[in-house]
Amino acid sequence: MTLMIHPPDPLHIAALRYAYPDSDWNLKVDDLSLRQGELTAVIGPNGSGKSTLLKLAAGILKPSSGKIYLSGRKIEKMDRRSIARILGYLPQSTPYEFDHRVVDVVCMGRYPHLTLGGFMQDHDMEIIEDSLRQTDALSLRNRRLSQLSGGERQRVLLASVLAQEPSILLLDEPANALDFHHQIRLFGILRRLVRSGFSAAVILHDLNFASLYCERIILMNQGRIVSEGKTEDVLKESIVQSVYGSEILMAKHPQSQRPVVFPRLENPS
Amino acid sequence: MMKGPITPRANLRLLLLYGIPFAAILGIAPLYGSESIRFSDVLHAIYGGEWSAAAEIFLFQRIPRVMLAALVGGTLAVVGASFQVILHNPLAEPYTLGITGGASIGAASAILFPSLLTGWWVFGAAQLLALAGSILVLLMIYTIARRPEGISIYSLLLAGVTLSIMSAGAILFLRYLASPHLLLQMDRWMMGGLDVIGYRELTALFPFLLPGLGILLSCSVELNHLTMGEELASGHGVNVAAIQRLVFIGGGLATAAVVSLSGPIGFVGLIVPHAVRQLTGCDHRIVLPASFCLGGSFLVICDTIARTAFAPTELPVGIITALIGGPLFIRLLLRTRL
Repeated sequence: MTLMIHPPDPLHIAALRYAYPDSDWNLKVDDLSLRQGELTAVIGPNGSGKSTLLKLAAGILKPSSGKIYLSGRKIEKMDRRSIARILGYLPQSTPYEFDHRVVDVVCMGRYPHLTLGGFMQDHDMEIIEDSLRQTDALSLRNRRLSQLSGGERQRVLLASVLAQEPSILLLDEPANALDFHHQIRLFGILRRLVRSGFSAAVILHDLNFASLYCERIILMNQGRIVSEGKTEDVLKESIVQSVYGSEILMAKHPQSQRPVVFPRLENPS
Repeated sequence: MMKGPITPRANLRLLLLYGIPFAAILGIAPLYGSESIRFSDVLHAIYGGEWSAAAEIFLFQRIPRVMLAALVGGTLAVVGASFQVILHNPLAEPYTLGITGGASIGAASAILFPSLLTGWWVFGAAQLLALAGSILVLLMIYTIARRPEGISIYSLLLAGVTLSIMSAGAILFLRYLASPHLLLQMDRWMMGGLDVIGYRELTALFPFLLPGLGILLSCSVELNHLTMGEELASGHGVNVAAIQRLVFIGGGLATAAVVSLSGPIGFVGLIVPHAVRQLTGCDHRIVLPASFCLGGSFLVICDTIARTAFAPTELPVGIITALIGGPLFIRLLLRTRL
């Protein structure tokens, strides 16, 4: 019998298999953990399985086989509300049909804690304010969704996820469609959250943001994890080129020793 | 404009905004009809005086008729509001899933083959077969759209449209078989109407209507979540598959009950929910009950016009709902952003 000395990882995946119906594509992850207080980037080309992995980890897709543990508990044995109290998931896109007020959207995040009727108590309102503050969105609270820019919308949706009071965050391309300034701002927010104790995994397309803001990187290709570990161990020229092709040139960030990538020019002049 | 999220009190206040006019319309509408009656005669009869034709018309024709119009209009609007959310389609209405098609085949068969079935308990023959047709369509669609992880919304929508087209074909065939005077009866059914006399039909609504509406109203918080997409709703802790199933079953039952009695009455289920969302926002704890009040009021008014405009003959109410509802809705669209 083994004695448990460390608390269980916030999120642990073991021998996970997933196949979409009527498709040859499949996902295979043998062993993967998120650690507390770390920001993990999930990178890889389109179709490499990043979103599928995140949806499986969030319990939104059911795996063909394998186990996912949230704080040591099997996710398949948990109902959606219990999952939502531990894990916050932000999908890649959300529909625009209904023009809710910002504060109402953030209130939705309180769902896993609410009783019948879904009305907010004072305690809930404090958490909602706090969530908006953490994502620099407090001033937006009385606006409507249709009045927000892309960056503001992302921050509001992130606030609604934070209102669940989770300890794990899984974000599917939160920086998608954001300009440079808003990407930097979003990662500033994510760094702050992670420092305060969250464990977070973020799907990214920009390898430089992954390198500069994330402690760990999961590099995926064709439904498999190609490399996983500390940022500087994964973002090596040989590894990156094996996935993204040889058109990638690697260098160091001028202010630090972190690796950054550039497209390799055919005819430099 | 409110600053915080909605409180139970603000919720109640908003509902009164819809409920009070609704109650007033329910009270006034029975006073109007193709025959002019004196209300004092009715009161006189109720309070132990001489029973009169006026009291008979008021109590046993107009009141049940107005109640029916209110129930049908209200239900169609609530179902429309819910279907628009789970199908992610602003054009969805209670009939989108092809329930009307099944009901029409049932009713047309009952008219064509009167010996097929007689009524049972409070149900008439056409109503029974229409109900059976609706339920059959619901079962077929559910079987087609069912997936291990819930319901496929796209399949639901496509299956509904396909079944509607197939039913239209079947109805054409039944019409081909029918004699002219039966054709007339079928046409009247297909136009939709509330030409009901008495409380029997009202009773017949309840076994399916009440559970259906109850299920929908109990899902209103979750419907709010589904407006932001299945994935975010799921992440927030909503059991999306269960809610989709409940809304499908609840909305299906309620629609089947209504359509089997009144035939297809268009427009109410489509425009009333949009009007409510334009007026008081898209929190479905308000949208659903408010849609019931507004849909009920709207259909009662339309039906009163249908009963009185060309008295003593009666217009099919569907004509009025389209002719009045359409322009009203366009005006709302022009006035506000959508």
